[in-house]
Amino acid sequence: MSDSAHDPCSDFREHLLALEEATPLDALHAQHMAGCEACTELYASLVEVDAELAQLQPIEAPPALVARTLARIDAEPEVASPGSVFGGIFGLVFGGFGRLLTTLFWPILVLRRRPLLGSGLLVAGAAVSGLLVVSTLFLTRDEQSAVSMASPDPVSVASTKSRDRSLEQAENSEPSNGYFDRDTDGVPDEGDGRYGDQAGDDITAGSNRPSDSAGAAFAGSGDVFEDGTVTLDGELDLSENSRRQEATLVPLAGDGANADFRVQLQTAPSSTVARNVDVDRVSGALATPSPSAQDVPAADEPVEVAAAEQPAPAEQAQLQLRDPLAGHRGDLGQRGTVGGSVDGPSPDSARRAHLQPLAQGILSPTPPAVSSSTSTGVELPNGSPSNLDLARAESFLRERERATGLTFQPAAGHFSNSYVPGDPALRSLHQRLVEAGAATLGGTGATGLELAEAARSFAQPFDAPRHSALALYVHADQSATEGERRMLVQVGLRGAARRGGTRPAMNVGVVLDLSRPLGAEDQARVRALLEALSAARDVGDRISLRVAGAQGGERIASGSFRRGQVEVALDQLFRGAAVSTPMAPLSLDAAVRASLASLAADQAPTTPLGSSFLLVVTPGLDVSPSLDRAAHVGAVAGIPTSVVGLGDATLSSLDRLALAGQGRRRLLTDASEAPAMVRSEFDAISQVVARALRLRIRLAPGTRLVSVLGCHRLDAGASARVREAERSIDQRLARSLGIQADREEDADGITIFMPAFYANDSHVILLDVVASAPGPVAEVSVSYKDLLRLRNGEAHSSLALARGTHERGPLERSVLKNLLAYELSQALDQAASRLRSGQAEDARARLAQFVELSRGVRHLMPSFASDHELSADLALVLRYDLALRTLTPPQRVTVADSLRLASRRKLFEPMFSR
Amino acid sequence: MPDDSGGRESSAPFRQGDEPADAVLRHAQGDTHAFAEVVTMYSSPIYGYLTRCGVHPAERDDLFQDILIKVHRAATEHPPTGPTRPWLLTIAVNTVRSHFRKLKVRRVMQFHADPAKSESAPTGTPESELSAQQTASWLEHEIEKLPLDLREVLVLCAIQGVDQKEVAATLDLPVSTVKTKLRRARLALADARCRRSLAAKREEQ
Repeated sequence: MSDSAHDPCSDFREHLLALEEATPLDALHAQHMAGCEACTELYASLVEVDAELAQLQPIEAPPALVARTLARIDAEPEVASPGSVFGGIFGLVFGGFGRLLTTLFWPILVLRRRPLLGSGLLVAGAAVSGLLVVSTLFLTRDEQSAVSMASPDPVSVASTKSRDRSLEQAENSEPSNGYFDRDTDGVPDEGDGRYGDQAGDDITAGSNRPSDSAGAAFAGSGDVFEDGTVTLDGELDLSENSRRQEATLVPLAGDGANADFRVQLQTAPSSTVARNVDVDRVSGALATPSPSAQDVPAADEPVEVAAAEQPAPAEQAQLQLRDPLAGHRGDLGQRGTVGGSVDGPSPDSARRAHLQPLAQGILSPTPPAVSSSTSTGVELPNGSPSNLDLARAESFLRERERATGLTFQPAAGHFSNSYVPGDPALRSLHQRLVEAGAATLGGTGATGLELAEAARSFAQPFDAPRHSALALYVHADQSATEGERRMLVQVGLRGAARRGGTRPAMNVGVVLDLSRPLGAEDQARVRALLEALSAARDVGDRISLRVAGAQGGERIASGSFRRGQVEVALDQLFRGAAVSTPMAPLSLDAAVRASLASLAADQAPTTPLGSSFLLVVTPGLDVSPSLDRAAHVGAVAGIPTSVVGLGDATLSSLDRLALAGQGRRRLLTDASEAPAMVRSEFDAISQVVARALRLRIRLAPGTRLVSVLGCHRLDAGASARVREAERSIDQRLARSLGIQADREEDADGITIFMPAFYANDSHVILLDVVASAPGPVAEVSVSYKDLLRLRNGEAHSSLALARGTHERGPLERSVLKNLLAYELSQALDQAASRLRSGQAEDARARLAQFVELSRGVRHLMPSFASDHELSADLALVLRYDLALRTLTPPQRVTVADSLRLASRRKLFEPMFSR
Repeated sequence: MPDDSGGRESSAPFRQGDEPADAVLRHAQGDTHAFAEVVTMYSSPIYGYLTRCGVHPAERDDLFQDILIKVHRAATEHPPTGPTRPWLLTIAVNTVRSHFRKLKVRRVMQFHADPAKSESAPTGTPESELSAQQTASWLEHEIEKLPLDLREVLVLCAIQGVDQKEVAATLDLPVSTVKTKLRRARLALADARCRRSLAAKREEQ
């Protein structure tokens, strides 16, 4: 398992894009082509395509069609030319006007005797004629638009030119973050099989080989001393969009006492590196550890310090390398932790510096050999190999290679959705951790909530779409094979950047469950919630209140929800004030049904999806099958049901109702939280950028499915409900927003339905597959309702394996890194389960397995060794281990909740935390 | 690589030096037989443009007639004041773009047996003819899959042989943008060809 060095194939491709037609390749690229089969094939294909294009025959119009067209044109009424029209009108108006005057105004004969008056009449007539002519010309202007090549008005010219300039700039600019921006050029990379057919639409596919033109080169001079020490001075300037750099020290030409060296950098899909991050001096201080790592207890092996958030100010960097002959492995980290081993022949015999190119350039875990010219202590990321048990990591990586003895499943049917940022269960976990208070856990210095929130999903190498709501990326952890190959296929989704704007008018039904009496605190919470709703009500919002209980019924009609009415209703409910209309017992089932019916009746066809919802406020409830069904039917009709639990309501039943109603579940423990809760509920609608996502993954013949990580196959009943929900959203958006309904047919392949996708989110789905040979592996498409452009959107991408033994590049490694994130999520979740059942030591053991795995993988894959996201994960797990070691019985549930929430946060960011 | 100045041996009348101006002007001046010449001259290029831009066969005939009727009316009411060929192409391009805008729903063009795709006259062995036909069919299919903006440029420049400057005037784009789009389109087809070769080699094994 090894990492790839710099890949110049993307340079070659860029060169082809910039090459003028019929211009031969330059020497550099011709030389590359001579040694690269893939680029040779690409160039040959380009030449053949040009030849084939030239051979394409014209497509003749059917003679019958031509004849019909001519006949139709012949039947067209004769179209007069403007000149003849004008002349005719002129002649008619002036000639006829004269006759009219003569006929109608016989006194004209008399007026001839009065030239002045006669001239006035003629001028008036000319004015009328002119008016008629101008009107005629004006009416014929519309026809010009169909054939217009006339100069448009200056404003449109300016905007057109501006658009063209920006388009041209976008097309000719450097790829951002090392990948092509697919939204402007629409050109898929070599893995794609399908394209959209509209200019500027969301053709999305990530490049399998990122360009390293976003990186930078370090060029400088160095001095070679008689003892073999080489000093390399210079500055490292990274471009704004550069990512984590892998460094290779490459010697350039030089002789004598001076030698030039080049640090060649390759972009890697890690977190963004800020401008002017320079290599720290070796004599400088160590990088400031991240807050999460500060309290990590001393372990047997040193833990790599995570990179600091802020880059160091630009300063001259100096690397001093002792005995560089034969090989030196060093790390140019974001903050310049440097270490490595130096071995080779005696430096005394060296006169010329000779640095071997580094295969990976990133720290290889050998004991540090600190240059004596510095006083800096350097810490290794992973400790010495002798202390590591690599068995688990080797087994993990071997498993990625194993293609025999596996159980396969059909690559078809509905699978569960793993993108659930609105999952009410997460909110309940969050609420419990909030309630746990501010007590820190053991020696971690953090509360359970703080530990959980330290878990973050990895930054993905997905550019946000600019012209659509969603972008699709398909990558794999392998790029080539000679035969059968097990691989991870990663399907990535990225939502457009957050959009602002006001929310639409809301249509809200509140059902207050008073099936049992409320205590004073719960009454205060209800009052706060209703007052918050009243305060948040905007022009056009309609809110109603219906009560379930002994004195049930509608208390505030939709459209009458004002502060005064709220006060009256609360007086009636909690202070026994008289009611004008007698109330009758009403069950919660009936109240929910009545409210849903009322909301549905109030909805206009143009009501945006999500602007109507039902809010059930309850101290606790039993969800009957009929209530469950009612909530589901309401959701299918576009009216989700959210639930607000009061005080210490039983969460599982509340979660069940919220899930059935496709809504959110909240817990109102303090009245002061009510305004924020209402605001969040109202604002949720504007955060959705796409709805009704149907992700479809078709594996190529010969590719077999082992599993979809984190997703399970849905049974027939669940699949039917998913299809029903999908069709309902489809139909509803067709009615309300005019987005054409297009979901009547089922799709083949693996199908995952996501009701909504939020702005700026990224999500990955990993498929464990076995490909039988090089060639196509998978075709992926996502259909969705684009809420930014109010149209149906589609994105397509495909994946193919080249023939050969290409080593893993940054994209392939990012897929493997996401697998590690999944492994961590599983470890945290399983540790939570074990802890919940009272097995704290088993929970620790599960976490220890992950630590062993993580360290081992980072040892075997040096490019991961200094990855600060992986370092942060490791630090987090060690903190949980500390918390478990010092666990007190009252903290058990808190730590379990924290572990569970952290496991979810590794995969996506929950909605409630935005 | 094809010479983008348009000097290609084909029956496509969009060749440099071939101007419809005479027939259009005569039509504008009332020559009742002139427009038939225009239709004869441009029916195949327009129909080919519609086909290769991905207009569905069911809509192609109507669109074809719409374009020529627009040309007929415009030639009479608003005769072109500049070069005639870009003027005529602009009508076709705008009509196709309007057509796709109205569709509202993006769809992947599914390859189907299209009777409009003419087959070349047999010139070689049956095997080579079959191979050439398959290659042409595949290439047409891949062209349909390109985004519309790339397809427009590719069809006009590389297939119809229109000069890049005229295409730039037609599409209201800078010449450099036309060149960029053309290169991207060709590279996309080359990528597809590479993938096809890989798949073919796999099948042979």
